[in-house]
Amino acid sequence: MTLSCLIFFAVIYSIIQEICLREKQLSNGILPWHLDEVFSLAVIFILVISMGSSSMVEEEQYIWHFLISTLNMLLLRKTVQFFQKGSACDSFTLLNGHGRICLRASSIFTLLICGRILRGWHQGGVNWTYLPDISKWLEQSESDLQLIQLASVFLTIIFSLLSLSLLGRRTKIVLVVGFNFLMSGLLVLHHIVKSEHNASLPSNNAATSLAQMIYATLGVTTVGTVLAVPWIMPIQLSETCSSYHNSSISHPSKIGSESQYPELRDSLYIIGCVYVGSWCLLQLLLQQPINSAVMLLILMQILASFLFFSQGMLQRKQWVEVNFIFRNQFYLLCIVSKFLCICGYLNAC
Amino acid sequence: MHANPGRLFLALKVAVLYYIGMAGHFALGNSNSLATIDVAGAFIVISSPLCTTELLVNALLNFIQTITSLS
Repeated sequence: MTLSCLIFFAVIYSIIQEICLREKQLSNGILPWHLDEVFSLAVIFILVISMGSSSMVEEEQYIWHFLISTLNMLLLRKTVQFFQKGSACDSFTLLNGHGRICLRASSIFTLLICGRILRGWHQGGVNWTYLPDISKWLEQSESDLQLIQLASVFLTIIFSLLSLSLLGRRTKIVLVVGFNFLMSGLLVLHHIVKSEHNASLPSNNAATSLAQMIYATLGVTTVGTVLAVPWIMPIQLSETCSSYHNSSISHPSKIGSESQYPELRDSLYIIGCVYVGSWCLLQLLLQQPINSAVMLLILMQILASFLFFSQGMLQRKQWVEVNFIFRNQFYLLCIVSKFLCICGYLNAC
Repeated sequence: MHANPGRLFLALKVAVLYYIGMAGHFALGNSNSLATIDVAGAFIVISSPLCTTELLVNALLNFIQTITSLS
């Protein structure tokens, strides 16, 4: 835990150092530090210190809940401060920034509300498991969990397709990726309905083969997107750009000003969206039915944070890009560590 | 706000994502105790009798369900 925190701190520190260097090169001024940025770094130290106590290790979920809530409150404070500064400026700037501030505030409120519901869903840890929570209440009330599960999968599909449509380019590859993703989602829905009907049977071949089909579809969609999109996207974008230049010459700087490498950014955006969506669908299949709403809330949190940090198309793509790169590196570490464990286990046998 | 938010918020973005992931992992009912590991999901595609390939698939699914639920 300490090692992972230290590695994470080193990554964050190196990013900040690079940003400082770039900013100094640009402005030769002192970089102002905001409270939320300081807090996001201080969290790592708080966590490392708290891990020194065994009681804190047992109840780590409370630490994360309070830290993420504090960070969200700091971001809300920052948004309000920006609104106050904006109201002091001229009315034109205020009108332009009003929608953006509303979007930011609503994203932060979504983060806070989802975080609070997630906090109350499970009483984890060791000492407080007997306390009532939402999952126990749902199980005791014998409510229809399948409906919650179906609604969660359905909303996950919609949110994932919406995030894909935010790219703003209706190229063939985006449509193909969206269709594959929709098919995977519908298969998951079908599996949930089917498994409910055959719940009494200990092992069902049809349900097993359907689950295998879902794994194959999700795997092919994700791996295929990762491998194919970086090669196909530049070709389609160059065609779009050439047709754009032919049709209207009055705004030649629009496409060029969007990004230095538009094809790379678009590719990473699509891969990131597919990666997050496939991960959610896979978890919805593997997790208990009571946890399906939790998965939806986590996806909503990710999308809300994505909307909060997006201030334009360029930044929005960068956010998904960060998401994708970070997840890939993290999963790679996890896979390597697990592989080593399996090797050790096989050697021991 | 900052003049160049896309670059300056980069570290904050990574940090927020990491924190959401950790909080989400515990919200799924996981904890640092081995007793809370849920292995039911890993047996979705397993049919009897269990062979070596299915054992590996089982291990992979269990890994996905528990460890990689750290969004």
